[in-house]
Amino acid sequence: MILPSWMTRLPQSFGSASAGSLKADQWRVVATLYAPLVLIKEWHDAESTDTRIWLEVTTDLMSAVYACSSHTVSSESIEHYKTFMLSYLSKVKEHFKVHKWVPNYHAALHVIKLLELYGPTHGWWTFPFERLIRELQNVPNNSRMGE
Amino acid sequence: MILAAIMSILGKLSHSWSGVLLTGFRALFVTLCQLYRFDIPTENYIRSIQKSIPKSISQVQKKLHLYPPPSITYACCPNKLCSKIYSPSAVGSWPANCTSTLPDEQPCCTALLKADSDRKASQPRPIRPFVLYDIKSRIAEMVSMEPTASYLKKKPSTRATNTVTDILQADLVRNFKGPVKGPNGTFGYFDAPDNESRLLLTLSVDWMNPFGVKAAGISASVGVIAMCCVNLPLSIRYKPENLILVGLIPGPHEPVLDTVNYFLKPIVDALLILWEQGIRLSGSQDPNSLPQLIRAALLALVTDMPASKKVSGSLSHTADAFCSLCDMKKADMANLDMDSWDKYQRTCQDHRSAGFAWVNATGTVRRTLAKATGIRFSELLRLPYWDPTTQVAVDVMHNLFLGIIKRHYTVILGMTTKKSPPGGSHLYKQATEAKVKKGRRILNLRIAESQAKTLKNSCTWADLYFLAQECGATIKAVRKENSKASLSDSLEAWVHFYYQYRSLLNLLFSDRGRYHLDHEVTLLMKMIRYQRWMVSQIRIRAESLTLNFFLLFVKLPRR
Repeated sequence: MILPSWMTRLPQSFGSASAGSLKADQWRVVATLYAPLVLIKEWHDAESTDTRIWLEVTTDLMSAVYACSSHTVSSESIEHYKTFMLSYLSKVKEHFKVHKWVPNYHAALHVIKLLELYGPTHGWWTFPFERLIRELQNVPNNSRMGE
Repeated sequence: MILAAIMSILGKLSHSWSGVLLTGFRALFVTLCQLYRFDIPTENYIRSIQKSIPKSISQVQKKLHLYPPPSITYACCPNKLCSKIYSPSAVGSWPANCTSTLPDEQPCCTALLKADSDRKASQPRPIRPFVLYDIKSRIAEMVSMEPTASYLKKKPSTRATNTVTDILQADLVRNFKGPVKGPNGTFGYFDAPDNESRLLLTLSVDWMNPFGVKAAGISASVGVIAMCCVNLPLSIRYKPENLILVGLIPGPHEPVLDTVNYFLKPIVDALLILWEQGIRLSGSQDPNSLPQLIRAALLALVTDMPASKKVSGSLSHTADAFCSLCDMKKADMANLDMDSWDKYQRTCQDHRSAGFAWVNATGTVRRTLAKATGIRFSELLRLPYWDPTTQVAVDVMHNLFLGIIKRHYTVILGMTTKKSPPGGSHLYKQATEAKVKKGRRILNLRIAESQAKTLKNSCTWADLYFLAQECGATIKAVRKENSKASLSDSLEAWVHFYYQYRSLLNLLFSDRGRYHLDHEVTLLMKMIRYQRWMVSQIRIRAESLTLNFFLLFVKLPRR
């Protein structure tokens, strides 16, 4: 697969334990680029209901992430996010009862209001601060400050 | 000299090794002169040059005017429960002991200082120093230096269409009220005189492990307080040199509960000055311009969920009042009907009064108040414009990308490399024929004690799951219950029950055993008790049990 150079790459050995844990942006790329390509291809004519539900929840989540990580925000895109996020959550609630309901699900619904207030998410996400943290972690420390 | 400075700052060379580098230079210089026996550089001249080469990196810094940014070092109480900070006195010393009272109303009295072993005859240094950089000077630097200066002096353009492309055009900024009435007669934040710059900042507090994620065993938590100026265009806003590092909250633990307020206090003080008086720049690059006034306001708190709760003064996300933006309680967490959310709506005024009520109370009253309202005090509430219901952002990176997406793929779809996935659909876990057969053999062996253990050792999780389904032992779908150990345990219990059950049935229906009725009743009672226990333990399929009992009762009267 040929990608534009600014897209975040996944580790070569994605899927095996040696790849380690994914970074936030790699998760975003998985959800918006790789998963749709692979899963729709694999699952689109699946007969079992389970697989269909898996595909449905995945595409719902994907659409919500598309709407929310876009560089422009309009009332339509907010509505889009709201519809798909609610649809995703209600499907999770219905079909995956075994899993704990987490506060993140609730907070994701507050994002609707915040998209109205703040505009595109790149203006208020923590990526730059996390990068600052990485730089601070690289500062050598031998338990003596500045030496 | 410059080489040494570069090595020290960019190459991360330690002070002592930069010293070695400089001394080496001096020696090299002297040897070169002696070797070639230059006539012109006389002995005195060589000596004067030699003297001009600095000996240590601190002298280099002085010569090149490389000063660290202005900062204040506070002494922070090392007691985990206290963490109060003390500003240095005019002569640069701190109190020796902590004077605050702990939450259990005991005095803290922890020693704050230690003798400095590095420098001779100097004052004792704080055990846990909290270094706070001066936000005001950092902002002044940004306003007076290119490339940021030209952007910060301009007012942001307003949007024409319905589409928002940046935070500056969004509703929160557009409706943000300024501290004084502007020349256009409105309170709009950007309705300001020409010689006034108005900045908007976002605050981020996050905790990190200074030893990196890879260092095994060593863990500490140092808080990073950083700010970002949203007036800058997106292309340069997030460049490392344009982020404002405000301070580092010293480790080794995160400050507990509301003690983070001690660290926020000096920051909020600075923000208050930036809001009310503003700061005035005298020496601007353009000599004709008027002294520039800069005001700044905190627009939003942008952090991950645990940190935002701590800083904004809400209870943790595991508390009953789990949401920092509304009044929803844990029981309603799965409420997806957003039209009914009005009843959870919390106003800014509610939050403020609850926060100030908490800070004015003491001891146990505080605890009850926090439990009832879900709100503790946060220093940010002292900012007159601070609205915790809108200015605390839910970070999309942590919430969506690292939260929901990650959870969706690893937990809900079960795509994980871990050996025993924590519940979920087991798409990529196939039971192997050979191992299932082996498992069946083990189950038939009926070696009561070690059965579970043998099963666990010889079968994979998927095989056990398959066996359990085959036996009809439905397993409680809770994370813990689905581990390999609990699966084999429940299989063992199932086998126990199965054999006991079968022997009881054999006993009842055998022609040889003509027991008294009361004996049969006792047995039945025993079975029913057993069934109840079973249902609670491994939930055997209820219908097969009822069917068997039904047969039992049909048969009984005949005898």
